[in-house]
Amino acid sequence: MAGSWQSESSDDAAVVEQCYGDVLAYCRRHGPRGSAEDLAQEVFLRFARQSTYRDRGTAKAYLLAIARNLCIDAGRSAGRAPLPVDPSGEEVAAIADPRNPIGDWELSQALAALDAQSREVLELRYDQGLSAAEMAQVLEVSRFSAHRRLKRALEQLRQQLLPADSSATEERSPR
Amino acid sequence: MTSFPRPRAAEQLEARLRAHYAAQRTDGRPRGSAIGDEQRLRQLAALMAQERQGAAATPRPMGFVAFVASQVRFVPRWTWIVQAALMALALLLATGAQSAQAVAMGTSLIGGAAALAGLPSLLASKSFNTAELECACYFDCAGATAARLIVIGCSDALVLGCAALCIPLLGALSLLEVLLHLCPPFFAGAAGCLLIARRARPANTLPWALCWTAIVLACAYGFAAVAPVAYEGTSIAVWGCAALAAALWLAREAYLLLDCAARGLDALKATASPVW
Repeated sequence: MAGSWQSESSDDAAVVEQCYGDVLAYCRRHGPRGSAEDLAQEVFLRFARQSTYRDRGTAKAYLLAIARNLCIDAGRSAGRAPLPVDPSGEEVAAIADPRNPIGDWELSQALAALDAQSREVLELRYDQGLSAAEMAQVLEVSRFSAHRRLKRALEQLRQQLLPADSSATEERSPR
Repeated sequence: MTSFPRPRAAEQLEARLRAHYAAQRTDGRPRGSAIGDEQRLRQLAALMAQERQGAAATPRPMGFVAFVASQVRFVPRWTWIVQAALMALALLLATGAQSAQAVAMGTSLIGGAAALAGLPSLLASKSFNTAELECACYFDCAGATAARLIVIGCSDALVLGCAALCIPLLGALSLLEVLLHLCPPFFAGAAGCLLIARRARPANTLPWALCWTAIVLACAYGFAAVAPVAYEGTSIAVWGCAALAAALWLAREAYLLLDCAARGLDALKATASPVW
């Protein structure tokens, strides 16, 4: 339950079970290549060290906030910006292969054309399923700012998809 | 172009995004990962439990304010007894002194003695050769010295403040006069003690400090006894200048002592090259 859960030892297994996949997915997308599992484990260990943590939102949002900071630090340590990778460890270019699509290829292309901040906010909302308040917690911005970023990202995505939609419509329409 | 109304188009885009991200996962989990391995998750939960126990067992770092407060219990009991005695003396002086001159002289003596009372606890690390140990601690030697300066300074301020309040209420002098007679000996005595603390050998610190305080008290007493007319006749401005000069000297000595402690192991420990 948001705001009232307690990170007791007995709950560790449940937290891992519920959130490990989400955290790992985030780390795969935002951490340096090949370090996602180590980063995900460190996220949970840091979470456990916060023994006095209470009432700071949902466990998932807090875990993703830790994951975000760890991925940024890991990217800096690696000396480069993290490469966007897909959940199976291959780069986005591989996802965007129309012969072997994972998900929506056209949408993948449009997402790849967005800036990293917009991709991240869309991912938090539609992949992780976070609310505006939880996104704000993860991104360390105000709720208003998180909502505005989401709206802007959706608008940019819509603009990216617009020409493709138009051409697809034209191709389908009878001549 | 899709011709849905805008709200519906937005909903469609959101649904498309959800479906796209969901397609990248298998059973709600990233594709191709090892997290299907329940043993791995159990190991991680066990590691978390260990971390939690370790975090609970590790004491949380103390803040500086709490550290200062904790120093109170390291101040020897006799320091508090001496300071209580000085307050009693101020009360006695206020009620029993026969003349304003005696009150003024008494306040000067209280000021000088108050400076000496806190010195041994302030310099315990030097006297007992534990500066090296303190330098290795979370709050190092400079932090410990600063904390004790604050504790002893607050205590002295309380004693002198009470004296400065009760003497005017019960005695013949005004608050300003009492302060001016209290402050120069206190500041001069404390500054001299800090100078001695910084430069003397550990074994010689207390004797030298006692000597210096005796000199300050003798000067105050001598000035009042030998030249009572001059003592009483000295203008407030002159006393104020003396108090200011002594206060500046004290501030300089406190800064130098902290700087000396912050410089590390060679500054306050016994093997440093002492002047005296």
